[in-house]
Amino acid sequence: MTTASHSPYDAIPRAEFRREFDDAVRALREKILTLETGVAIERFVALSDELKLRTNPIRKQLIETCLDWTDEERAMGGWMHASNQRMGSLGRRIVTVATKKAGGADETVVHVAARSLQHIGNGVKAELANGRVASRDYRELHALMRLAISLDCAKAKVTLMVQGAPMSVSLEALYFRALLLARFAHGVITMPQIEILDWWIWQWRGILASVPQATGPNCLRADLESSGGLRLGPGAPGHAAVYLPAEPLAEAYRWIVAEFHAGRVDRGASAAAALPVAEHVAVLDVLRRGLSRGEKGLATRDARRVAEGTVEVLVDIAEIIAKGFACEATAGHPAFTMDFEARPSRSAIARVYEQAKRMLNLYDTSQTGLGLEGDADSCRGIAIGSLLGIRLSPSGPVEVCRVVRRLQDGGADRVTIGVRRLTSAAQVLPVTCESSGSENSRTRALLFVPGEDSSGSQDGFLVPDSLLRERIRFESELDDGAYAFRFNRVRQKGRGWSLAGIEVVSVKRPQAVRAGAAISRPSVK
Amino acid sequence: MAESNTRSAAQQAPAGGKPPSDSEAGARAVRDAYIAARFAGVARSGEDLAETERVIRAARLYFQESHKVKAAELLDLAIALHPAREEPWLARLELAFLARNSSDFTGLAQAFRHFHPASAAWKEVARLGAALCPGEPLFGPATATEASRYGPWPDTPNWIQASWDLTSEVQGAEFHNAMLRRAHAARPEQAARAA
Repeated sequence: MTTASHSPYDAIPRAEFRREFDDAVRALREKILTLETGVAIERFVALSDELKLRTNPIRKQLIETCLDWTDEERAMGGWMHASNQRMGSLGRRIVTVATKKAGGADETVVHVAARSLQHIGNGVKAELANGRVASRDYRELHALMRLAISLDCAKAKVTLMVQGAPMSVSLEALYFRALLLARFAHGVITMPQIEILDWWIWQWRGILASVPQATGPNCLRADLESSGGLRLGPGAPGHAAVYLPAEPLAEAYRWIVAEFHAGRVDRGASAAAALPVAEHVAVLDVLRRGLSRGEKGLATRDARRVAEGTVEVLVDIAEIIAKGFACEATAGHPAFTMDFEARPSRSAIARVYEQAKRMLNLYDTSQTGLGLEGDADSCRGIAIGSLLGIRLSPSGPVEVCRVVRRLQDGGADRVTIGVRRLTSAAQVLPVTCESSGSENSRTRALLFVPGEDSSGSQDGFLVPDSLLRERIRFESELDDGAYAFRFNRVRQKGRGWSLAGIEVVSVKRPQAVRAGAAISRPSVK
Repeated sequence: MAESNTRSAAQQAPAGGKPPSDSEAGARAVRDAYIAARFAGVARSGEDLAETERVIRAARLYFQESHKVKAAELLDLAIALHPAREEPWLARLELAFLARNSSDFTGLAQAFRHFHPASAAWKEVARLGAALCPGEPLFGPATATEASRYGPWPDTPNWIQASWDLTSEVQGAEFHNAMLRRAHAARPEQAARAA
């Protein structure tokens, strides 16, 4: 017996164990037809338990790391994905063979089907580590659901261990869990956020019940004969599909929001529940967008145009201002010294190793965004939610974009990045700032983002989150006066930055600036 | 997504007066972290939601920018945490009225009546309610002047604190235009493209 502190299940499984496990799965797969059903099921369950226990420390490490994954972590994530998929496939074969031999499914066979669905769902969560969207294929998942329907056990409940606790769950809920995870876990949310989403889905398992007919334009559809994930709305007549009504999901969403309002979230319930509340709020945003897409009708993807070329990419506000707007920031302000948040924190050693230029390949463009590709080194430090500055041509403007998708090919050293354009018309504005609690004012550079509306109501500034902690009043001199403004809400939020809306609180006209008087109305001749 | 609803939380609002227990402190920490993340730039904690004017202004801006759920949620939280203040209730009622959401308005009005039975604003609430939900006994018969327009006009109460003289809006537009001119001066071709 090993003590708890030295349990092999607390440690990250080594490469040797991973190979042995894969060999054991392969061996069982090859013997399915010849083994007695009971023995095959027994071995499958043993492997399933082993995989769940052994992948726990990997999951823990991957959700706790706030840096880019190392090669070893990526390899572990890739293995977690592949081994869970293989277990799902193996389980489906065992169910198929067992039901053919016995002419039906007993409790143990239903249990194998449930475990298989659970493994595929677990594998989906690790997809981020193992490949691009193009390689996604959910045929195995649909095949299991077809089997469950044909055996009349889709609504049967089994008890599974989930993060150390027993949970009663139906097969169809496990099927929808995997599909819901697949809908969100394709590069648009991070690993910790996927874990949070999964934890919520487990809480919602009671409402993940299929209906045979579409219940409105917002319902989610799973095409049982396809290889794809969830779709919106009714399917084509004659196609085998099951539906997940949207309203119970919306109700579940509201339940989570109400729990946060009441502060009733049990932070000790799971590793996911213990993650920062800001991560939970980010997942709620993703869910809200995903669920409301149905209310707005089927979304169409902007047409992509193939592009070629290499572009320089600047990461985060400080670098965008420093390198993307170096000339403009100080133009007309010879005495102005820019105050960049990130600069002082960089050590001399860090500056020595600082990458001179981060060059990525541009592979497509659309009305709203860009597709980029680069090697892992170049993309280090770029995560979902990062703010990028990209100059598409030497004389062109800096395109300020947010990263909405990031995927790294499992075996290869290639990273694919999708960005959404925030603006092509950003400007650096020197401002003086006064915090409410300080008499001292100081100068700094803010990145102005004009709104599409000429009223200015959609204008904002891209600022580091730290700047929002204080209620600061800013002032800047423009050609027709000195404008004082303050931030009044966050219109978009990313990784360490916010696009803050503003409220102009006063304007001093040139003559009034000299006189020191504030004019709150435009002068009328 | 349907409107958020935290009126039940309002009924569970702590009475105050005694120091919070560990579990209350924990709940408050979770709620504050949620508020700081969800309403960044507006509030950093439940305490900040007591700043009625700021909260209502932010809710109005969310509403104007088509974030109706977020606007309602912000006010719902302010109501839940500070139910004795009338202003967030009234702003929430006005947003429900402007959204023409009769069931939301009626539910809110009932709760408002419960928490503020002596409010001088009830007459106005009832007038809006009668216009929005004719026949609803809670509001009585509709009066001759029916509220139907959005904005700070005589027939709407302006509980959402919209600017009466549009000073702030004019200054915002001037700032926008000054920044456009600045861009033109710095990079004429790019600014033309951006415009």
